[in-house]
Amino acid sequence: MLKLSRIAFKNIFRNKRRTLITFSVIIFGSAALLVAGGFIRYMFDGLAAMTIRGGLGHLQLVHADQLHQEEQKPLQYGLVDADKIARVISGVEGVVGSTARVDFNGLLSNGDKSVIFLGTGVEPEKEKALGYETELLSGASLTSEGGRFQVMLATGLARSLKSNVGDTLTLMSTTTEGALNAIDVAVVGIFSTGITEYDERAIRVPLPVAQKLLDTEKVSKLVVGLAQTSDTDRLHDLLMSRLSSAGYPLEIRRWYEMATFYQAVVRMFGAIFRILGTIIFVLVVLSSSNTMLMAVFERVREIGTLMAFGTTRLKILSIFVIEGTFMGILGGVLGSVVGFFTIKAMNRAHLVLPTPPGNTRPFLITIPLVPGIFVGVFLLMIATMVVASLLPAWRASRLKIVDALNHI
Amino acid sequence: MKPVIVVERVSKSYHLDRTEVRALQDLDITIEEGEFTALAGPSGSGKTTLLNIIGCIDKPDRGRLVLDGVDVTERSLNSLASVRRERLGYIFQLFNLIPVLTAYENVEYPLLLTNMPGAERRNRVKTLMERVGLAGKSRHKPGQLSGGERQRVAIARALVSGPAAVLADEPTANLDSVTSSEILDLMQELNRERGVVFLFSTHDPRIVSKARRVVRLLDGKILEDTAAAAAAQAEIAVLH
Repeated sequence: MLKLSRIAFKNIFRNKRRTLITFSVIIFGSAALLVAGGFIRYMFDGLAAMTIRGGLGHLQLVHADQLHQEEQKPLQYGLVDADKIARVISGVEGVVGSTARVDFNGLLSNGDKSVIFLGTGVEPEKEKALGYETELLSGASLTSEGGRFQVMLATGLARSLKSNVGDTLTLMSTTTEGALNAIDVAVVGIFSTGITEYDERAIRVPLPVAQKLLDTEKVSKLVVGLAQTSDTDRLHDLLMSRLSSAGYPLEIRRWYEMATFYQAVVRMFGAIFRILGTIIFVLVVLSSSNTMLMAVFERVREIGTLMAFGTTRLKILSIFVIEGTFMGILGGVLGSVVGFFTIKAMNRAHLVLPTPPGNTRPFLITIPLVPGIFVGVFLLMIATMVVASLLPAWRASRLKIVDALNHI
Repeated sequence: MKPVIVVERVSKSYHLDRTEVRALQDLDITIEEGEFTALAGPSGSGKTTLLNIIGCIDKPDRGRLVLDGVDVTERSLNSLASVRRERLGYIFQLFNLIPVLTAYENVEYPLLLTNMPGAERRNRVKTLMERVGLAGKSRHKPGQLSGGERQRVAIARALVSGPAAVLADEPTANLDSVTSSEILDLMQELNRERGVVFLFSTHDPRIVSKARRVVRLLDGKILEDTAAAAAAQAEIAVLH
C-alpha cells in the first residue's frame, strides 16, 4: 500500500491547475462549514448560557407530583422543606448553590388599569450569587432588606401601566386556600428579559412578598446552579440519589429538558447545518469527481502500462482512491487553516447581525474555534474525496489493457 | 532447448463496424529459450495482435497458449496479472514510462508489485540502470530524457523482474536510425548475457536483419519463419 501511495501522492501535483481547482473547492467547503458550524455552536452555547442565567438554572428540584398532577390551588404541590433540601445539596462538589422560587400569577393594577402578570418570587441575594440577574434598565434590583414590599417590572409591563420607579401598584392573586388577596408594592426597578413576550407580563418580587400574597410557607421549586454546564447529567443523577436517600421524593429537571425554545433552536439549526453540510458534500463530490475523471482519461495509456506490468485492477482502483484520500487530507488541512484565519478575521471585524425575531437586542457575531468541529469537517472532507474518487477509480480499473495501451 | 512461448492454432478476429477483420488465423509458433526473434510484416499483418496475446494483455478467440511452462489459455486477463508480473517484460513503441516517477522509480515499479526485500530490489535496479548506461540519470524524470534514454529505461524496466521473455512492439519506431541501432544492440547484448527471450515486432528491414530468427506475417498467417526454414534445410542435409 505504501508503494501505491507514493505514486498516488506524486500524481496529485501532476496537473497543478486541476489540483488547485479541486483544492479550492475543498478549502472553500471546509472554511464555509467551519464558519457556519462555529457560529451555530456559538448560538447554541450563548442560548444555553442565556437560558440558564435567565433564571432556569442548571437543575430544578420540584415536588414529584408537580410534573404529573394538575394543581387545583396555587402551590398545592410546592416544596415544604426547601431549606432542609437546600442543605442536603449544598455540600455536593460541583454545586455552586441553590435558590428557592415561587411562581405565581394574578393581576397588577395602578388604580386605573389592571393587567395580568406572571410573577416570580425570588431570593435576591442568592439569585445574584448564582448570576441569575435580569438586565436592569432603570432603578435598582430587589433586596431582602427593603422596608416596603418591592416589585420589579419588565419593561413592556411597565410601559403598559405607565409605571416608573417609585410608583406604588397593587398585586392581586388567590391564596393557596383559594381566597383573593392583595398587597401594595413599590416599583424599585425596570428590567428586560430580552424576549418581547415575557417583557409584556413579567414581574419579580422578593420571596416573602410572594409567600405573603399566596399566604403560604411553601416554594414552587429550588433552582440549582452548577459550576460546569457539562456536569448537568452527572450531578442530576448524584443529587437524585442523595435526595432519595435523605427521604425527599423529588423530581429533578435538567435545564435542557425545560428549555423548549433552546431545543427548538438546536433542532432547527442542527438541521440547517446538516443540509449545508450535505450541499457542500455534494458540490465537492461532483466537482472533484469530474476533475478526477479527467485525470483518468489523461492517464489511460499509463493505466494500461501499469496493468501490463502486472498491476491488478484492485491496485489500480486503490491508486485513485488513495490519491483522492491524499487530496482530502491536504485539502482538509488547508481548509482548516483558511477556516481558522477566516474565523479570526470575522471575530476581529466585530460583525453585528440585526435583532433576531422575538429578541430586543442586536446580535454580535462571535465564532468560537471548536476543535471538535475542525476534526469533524476534516474527516468529512477526507470522506468526501474518497467518495469523489470512487467512480473515476472504478472507471480506471475497468479499462481493457489493450484499449488503454492504444489510447491516444 | 526449452520452449518458453508455445502458440498453437491461435485465431483472433476484430469487428470494425460490421466488418470482421481476421487478425490471426490458426497461427502456430514456438519460441525457445534464449531466442532473439523479430516479427516482421506490414501494418495489419497481425504482429501486434500476436504480441498482445503472448503478452497476456489480450485473449485469443481460439487456440492454446503456454508461457514458460504455464498453460494460460483458460485464465482471465485479470488473473494473469501475476504471469505478466513474474514471467514477462514489455517494451513499447512510445516507451510508456510513468511521467511522475524518476527513471530509477520507473525501473523499480514492477518490483514494487512483488514482495522482494528492499536491499535486493535496490541492487537489481542499480545494476540494470548501470547496464543500460543510465546510472547518472536515475533521478531524471522521463520528460528530462531523450528518446533513446527513455527506451533504455523501458528496457531496464522490462528486465528488472527477471522475466522469461521480453515482448517489444516496434521498440525503435520512434527513434532515429543511429539510436535504433544502439537500442537493438543493447537488446541483443542483454539477450546473450541473460538468456532471456526477446520477441519484437518491426517493419524496419535494418532491424530485421539483426534478428537471429525472423517470422514474417501476412494477413494473420506466418508467411516465412527463418528458424523453420533452417530446420528444414538441416533435415534435408541429414537425409542426403
